[in-house]
Amino acid sequence: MSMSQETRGMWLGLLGVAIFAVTLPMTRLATGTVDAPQLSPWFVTWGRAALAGLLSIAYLLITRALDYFDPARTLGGNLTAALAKATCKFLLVSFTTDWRFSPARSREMVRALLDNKRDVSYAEIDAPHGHDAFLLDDARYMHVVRSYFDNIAQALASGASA
Amino acid sequence: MSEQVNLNAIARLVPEGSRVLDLGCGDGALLDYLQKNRQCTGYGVEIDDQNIQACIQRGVNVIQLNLDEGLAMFADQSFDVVLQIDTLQHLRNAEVMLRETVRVGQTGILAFPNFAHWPNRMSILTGRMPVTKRLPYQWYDTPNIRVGTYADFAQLAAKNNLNIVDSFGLQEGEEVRMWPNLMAGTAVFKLQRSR
Repeated sequence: MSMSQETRGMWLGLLGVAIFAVTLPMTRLATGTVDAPQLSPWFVTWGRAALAGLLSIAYLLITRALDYFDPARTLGGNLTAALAKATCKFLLVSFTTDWRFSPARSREMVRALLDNKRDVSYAEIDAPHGHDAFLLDDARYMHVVRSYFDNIAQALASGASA
Repeated sequence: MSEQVNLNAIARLVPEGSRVLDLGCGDGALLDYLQKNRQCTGYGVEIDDQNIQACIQRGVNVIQLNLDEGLAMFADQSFDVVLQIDTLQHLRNAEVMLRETVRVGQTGILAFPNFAHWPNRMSILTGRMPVTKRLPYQWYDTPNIRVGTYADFAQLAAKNNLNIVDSFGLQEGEEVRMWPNLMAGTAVFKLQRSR
């Protein structure tokens, strides 16, 4: 995406206003004229409201499925039990100012992995950029991830099991 | 403690195949050595970004954590050995961390600069704070916020009902068992919780 976030937001806003503007003539078409009435104005009004409501609910369900995802939900909140099946090595990185995926949550995962005696490394990067910190070129973050991947590449190249 | 000879002397105290937690693991050199030569597994704990990178580069498991916030992340007796090598002198909550060390580990191994080593005493006698190979900092820029001695630590261990399994001085990689408080630049203690 070459467009800046701001420009993209403006265009999306304009599109929203344009779509909403079209609903007025559409409503007129649906209700018809006094001489040739089509659908009941009450039906159209409630129909519009219901449709908008359903779409909003669908949108919220989809986004919250991400926000409220809890891998330990079926295990009474026991994250250690939830991660017991995992056998791979883990690298977790969090950013101190991330309000969406806070370091506290990452530490819970680290603890669950420690309880399971799994290989895990954890870097907590002190960055002021909030949730978007992971999108920026933070040298510490880049270096940690690069080193970790380099080790995997080396292990694969030398034929050892990673 | 960067000197390899001293690290080797401490590595000898860690039983083969132990599950180790190294508090203040620095660049991960000791853990790396223990994994390669003594079949140990485990994790380092560090606060410094550069050291975290160094550990990951070496392939040593490391967890970035401020030790002043405690060891809540680690369960009781979940490690065979918990190391505090040249860490104690940087901690605000040194006594709490001492108790945490033996809570999390069956055995705790601590090493720290012994302020009562005779060259330090000589320096104090002449009215100046010591600046030596072991304590290379000027008084105004030292990161060491706890300056204690071999004898001081033995007293702290007793106060906390800790069992001193073994203790000695370290000087140039050699164990010093005669007058360690006077003759060694580094104090080493192996501790367990009293039953």
